[in-house]
Amino acid sequence: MTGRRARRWAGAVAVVVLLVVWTRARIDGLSVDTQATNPIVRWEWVFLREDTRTELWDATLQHLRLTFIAVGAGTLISAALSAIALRLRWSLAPITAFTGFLYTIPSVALFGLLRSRFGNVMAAEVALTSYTLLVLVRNMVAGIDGVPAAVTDAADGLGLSRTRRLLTVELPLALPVIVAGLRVATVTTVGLVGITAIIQLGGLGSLIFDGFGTQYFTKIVVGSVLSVLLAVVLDLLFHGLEVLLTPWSRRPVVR
Amino acid sequence: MSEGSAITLAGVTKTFPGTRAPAVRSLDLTVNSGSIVVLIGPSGCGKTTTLRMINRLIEPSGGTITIGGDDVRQRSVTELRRGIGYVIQQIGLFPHRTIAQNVATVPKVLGWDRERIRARVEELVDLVGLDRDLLTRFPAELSGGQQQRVGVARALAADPPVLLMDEPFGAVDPIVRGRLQHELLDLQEKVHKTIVLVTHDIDEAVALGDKVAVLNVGGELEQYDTPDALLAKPATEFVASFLGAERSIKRLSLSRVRDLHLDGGIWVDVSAGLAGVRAAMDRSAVGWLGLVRDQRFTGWISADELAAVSALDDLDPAPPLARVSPESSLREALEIILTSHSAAAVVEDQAGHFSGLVELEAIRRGLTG
Repeated sequence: MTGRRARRWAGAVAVVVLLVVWTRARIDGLSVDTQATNPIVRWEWVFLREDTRTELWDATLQHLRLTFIAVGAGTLISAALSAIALRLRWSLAPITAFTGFLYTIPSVALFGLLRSRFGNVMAAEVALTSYTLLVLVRNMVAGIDGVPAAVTDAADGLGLSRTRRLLTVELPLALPVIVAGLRVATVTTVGLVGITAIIQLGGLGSLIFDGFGTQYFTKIVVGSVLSVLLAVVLDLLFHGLEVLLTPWSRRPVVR
Repeated sequence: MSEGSAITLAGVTKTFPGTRAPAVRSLDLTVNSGSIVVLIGPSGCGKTTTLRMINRLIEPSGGTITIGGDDVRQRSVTELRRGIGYVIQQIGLFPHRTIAQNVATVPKVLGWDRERIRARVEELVDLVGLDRDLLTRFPAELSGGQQQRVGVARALAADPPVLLMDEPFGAVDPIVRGRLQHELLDLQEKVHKTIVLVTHDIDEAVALGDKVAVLNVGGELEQYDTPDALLAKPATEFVASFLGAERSIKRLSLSRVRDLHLDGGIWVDVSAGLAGVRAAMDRSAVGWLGLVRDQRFTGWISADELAAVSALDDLDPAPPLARVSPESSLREALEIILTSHSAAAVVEDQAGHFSGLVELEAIRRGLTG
């Protein structure tokens, strides 16, 4: 187990080191004159152009902001919906149907539709939030439902109140499933944020749209790569959080 | 301990929504303070429902339940349950909490300070026979038997006067089950709780219960009596068939060797001298005689060997094959006598002091007397 994990980390580190070395070597050979030599990625635009760094940084920050607000709001709304669904079992089916319906609306259409009613940012956040609800509610409910009946029975029998049972027993045990939902919701949202470029937002997506508009492929590649990197990093962060918060699931089972 | 924490059920009825026949119908039962009462019966007899009505995990449809004279509905459910230990078959330890945290659940809810909780947790793991090294482990790292001990320790944490146990040993293998049953009895000697225990295992009921309540489908109380009375005189055809065909054998488990009258028998103290030993051999119907020296059983001699020697010191007694302790059950004594092909088993305490011989006839008398 630990051996396999160590090898995986060593592999990742090796790839990063190789990338850094390779790009360093490329940069050394660059100058503004050599523009036409690489039609796909113009490294001088990435590394030598003065405004590139601030543009990329701003785009990334906007991307992150749009993502976090959407996932944060989605988590709050989903927690409330899950609480209702768990308390009133009959409401689970309509809640799931409703969030499922939201999920099926094409994002381009929804961004455009909401924009006529709210401002750009608000339209983007409302749409992005609504897409997180299905997976978040489903995982929250499944996580709480997955707590073994014997454990909740024992909690009740020992005299824990409902609130205390939820906070100290059910939520910690449901955490891996809930975090799994958060990871999927976050990665999905990072992807969807790019599409908000059609309403003059988009974070890294605006870079991609620009690239298509001007036939400048470097921007498309850089925007895509950074967007993917962002998704991967956030996914790993959540995974790390989960590992930190669930120490009991890592100890070996001895019988 | 007259009133103490006695539990009474008066006309308790439970009908679940959507069913016509009640699961428990007008049940009257009194559990004396400090005693163990076992509820037993076939599935569907409402024994678990009855148990869960005592701590209001299930609310009765009718009737009254009191603990120590107080109606259980007087207090809030959480307050009531914190004063009642609860142990279930699936144990239900919190997998994300260490053993120490599991045991400390109720004291923590009650707001005890850290030092008091720590001291109580250590006292409890010692009480249930667990190693203190396990305190920092998680439940998944323990064996089934160890987990069940943690479950009992957790239930006893705030020293509740009442303990409810729902098939507590149903999920462990028979050897561990036997050991845990013994431990529960030892524990009860120290803590004197009022215990209500549900089982479907008649041997467990007979071994653990001061009294046993046999329930029939629909929560009908067929008989409520001591295990011995139950086995000796089943009140109804149902009870007799439920107890099974080996009632007399089961009764043997209830009596201990020390309860028998073990005066006389085929043994003699060597202080009687050669003549005395010869006289004793003449009285032995089996042609064998046990020799005792300084409160120790030295072995068996046969009539032929005795006739061939001129002094007691020349004898070479054969060591006994069957030994029991005064605490052994008659069932164990019978088993040992039968498997060793002996006429009698030697009764010795842990220090090796001889206190008599158990013969088959003594066991038979023990059942009728």
